[in-house]
Amino acid sequence: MPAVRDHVHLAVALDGAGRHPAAWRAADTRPDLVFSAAYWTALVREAERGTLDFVRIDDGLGLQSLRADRLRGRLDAVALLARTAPATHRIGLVPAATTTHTEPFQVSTALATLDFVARGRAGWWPKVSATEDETRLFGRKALASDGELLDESVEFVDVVTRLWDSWEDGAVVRGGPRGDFVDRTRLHQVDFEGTYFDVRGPAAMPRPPQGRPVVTMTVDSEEALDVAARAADVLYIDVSTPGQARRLRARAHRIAEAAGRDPEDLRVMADVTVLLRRTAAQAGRARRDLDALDACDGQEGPDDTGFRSRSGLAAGAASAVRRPGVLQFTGTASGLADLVESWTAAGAVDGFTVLPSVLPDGLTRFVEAVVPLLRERGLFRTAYTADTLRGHLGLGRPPSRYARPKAPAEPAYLKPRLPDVLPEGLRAAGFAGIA
Amino acid sequence: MSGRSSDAGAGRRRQMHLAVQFPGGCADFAAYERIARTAERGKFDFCLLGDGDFAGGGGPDTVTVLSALAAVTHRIGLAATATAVYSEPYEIARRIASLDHLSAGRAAWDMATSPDAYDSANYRRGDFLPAVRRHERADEFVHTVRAVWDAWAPGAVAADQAGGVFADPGGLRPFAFHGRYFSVSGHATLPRSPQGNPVLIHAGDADEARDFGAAHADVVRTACTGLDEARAFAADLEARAAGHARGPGDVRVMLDAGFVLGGSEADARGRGLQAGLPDADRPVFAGSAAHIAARMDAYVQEQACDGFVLQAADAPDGSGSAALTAFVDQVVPLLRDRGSFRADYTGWTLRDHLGLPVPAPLP
Repeated sequence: MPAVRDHVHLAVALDGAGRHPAAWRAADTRPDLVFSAAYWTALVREAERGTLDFVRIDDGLGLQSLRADRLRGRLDAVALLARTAPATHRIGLVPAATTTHTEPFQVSTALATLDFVARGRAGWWPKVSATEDETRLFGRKALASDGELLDESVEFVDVVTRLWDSWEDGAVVRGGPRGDFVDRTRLHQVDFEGTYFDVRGPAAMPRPPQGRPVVTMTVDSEEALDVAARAADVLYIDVSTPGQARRLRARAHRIAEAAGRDPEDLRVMADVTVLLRRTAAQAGRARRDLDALDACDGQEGPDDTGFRSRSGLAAGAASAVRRPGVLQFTGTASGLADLVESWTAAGAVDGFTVLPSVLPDGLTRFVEAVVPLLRERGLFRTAYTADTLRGHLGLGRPPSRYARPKAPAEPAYLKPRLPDVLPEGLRAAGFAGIA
Repeated sequence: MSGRSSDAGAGRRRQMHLAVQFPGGCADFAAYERIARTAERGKFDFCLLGDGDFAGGGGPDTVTVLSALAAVTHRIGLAATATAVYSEPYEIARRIASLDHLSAGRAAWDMATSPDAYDSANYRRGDFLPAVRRHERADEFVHTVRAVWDAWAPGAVAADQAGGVFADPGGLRPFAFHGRYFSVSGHATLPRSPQGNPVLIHAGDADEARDFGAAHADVVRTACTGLDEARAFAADLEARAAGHARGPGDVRVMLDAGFVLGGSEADARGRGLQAGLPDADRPVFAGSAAHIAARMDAYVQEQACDGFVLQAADAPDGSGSAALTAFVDQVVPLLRDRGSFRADYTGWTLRDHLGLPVPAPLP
């Protein structure tokens, strides 16, 4: 089994005014700005100041709650992160994008585009839309079972990543006699025929800078564990002890290996909800103040006022896997650094996704107080050493699965099936010549 | 058409609106950025990221590119072509409204309504609709999109921390649209966007396309060639718009046009053709800066159009915005000297630039 690396990977999850349902009512939040570009740009820049691996932005098609005292509404997460890309330089950008009512072709193109505008910093957090309310927003099909939603998302992720591969690297030839042109022998139909989609391809645009943007998935059921270990680069887990994390990580590695993947290519990161103060007593008081502000019950996480929300690919029967939000840390910076150090030393995880209870304050405290401690202890980078999200995570750039074999004597089945003509779309898009 | 009624009395010249369409087939963000910044330096109304005559295939995702461009520009409008044939209205409404929020009121949706084989092979909906029903369906599509955009009442976000009311329950209204092609309902996830409704653009010269544009579009693009043909188009569109209870000030007609700067008209035209600039299907203004400025101004003053969507004729890799830079440096000052084009932006939103009112929300 692969060892846990020396360096811990750190991400921050940004949503609304923070993870606590009453966060938006805290004095130092700006709930009036959550639909503005300035708010999100400042948050992502703050995370970059802390040299975090990436920011994760939650999203969903439906409204989070019908309660008037809850922060409600969200911007499209891909567009939001594209808006922050030119204002940042190194940090990874991982938006949620749903798989139930959307089009794999469109989502694939949008994420590839995000990778282009961010110069190799894009990731993806696929999520299902599991509510009746979201179904009515589209009016196209009936609400499917959890199993079907997961199956569909598996197909969806497969199609998206195939489309990313459908233009080989080097398909765009620079500086031909009439400018750049497309070598159509390096474009491949994906010819996907599944239960839920038929997608011919090739993609509408060249391969993204990272080859494939980083695919991240929430492990919130046995089924999701199986899917994520086969298809994801980053696995988000919700557990309360390092022992549970270590066992889950080992299982993910076994599943990956059985599926023909190198377990070294997986990063398992634990979600941790964080509230930091100078002393443990102050932190506890801040937590109680927040809970008191929340008229409901102080439970962090999805509420139940008619809008079931799903954190991951599926929320099916959980056994070893707990419901989201179980690891909560309320205390001091050194206490949190201790937690990170002990879990890492125990080989439990490759990193953590920090969910600040209140934004932006919680992120600033993490960057200013916890990150320096982790650096002092040699656990976290002092500066970025890579330009891409794959680089931060220590993941290689995957070759296209359709790439032509170098040696001429490869088996015939590796030969790409070529599109007869350059798709209309590419011609209309102005590619000047065809090889 | 704008300003028809007021022209005679005020003696003021009709004001030109200018836009630039990005060259296609480009995945280099720096090239988009150069073109958008150059157009903004020229005080253009908007830049348009399209996919030829249809959307969904043949280029990067328009909303994603334009969201990023919103970070490096401040005033210029950002118009995204997106298909109404292969996508769902709720999804389009949400993405375009997000762009409007993220750009503080500079978003437009260029409504593509033509099917094509490439998209059909890649989308769930496939090629399912007979052509004759297309605009009927597109009509429902736009109604649905606007219902989503209007769902939250103006000022619905109270963000009242002390009172514990984030969004006023009365202002957060559910929307519903039930028609022949769409039956959707629910709650939108975004407040009413800065422009009320993002600007709607439609291109098309066929009969149904004209009707659709007259009914719904704030900006109608046409590829009419020749001044008389364009004037007839504009008059026809104004009459159709009146049939939908829309006044002459509610619709801007903009000509898709190419330009080739420098030398004689014949020289320039020859060079333009050599560079692959389409000549047959849209007007090309060619010649010296003075000649181009005079010709373009004549179209506007003679009520053949309200402005132009210029095709950036750069190399497909977007390696330079040289042609647009030359236009901004040489032609735009002449248009200003003639009193036909703004010296600077006077507003912040695309509706401001186009002189379009903020639409009243649905009752």
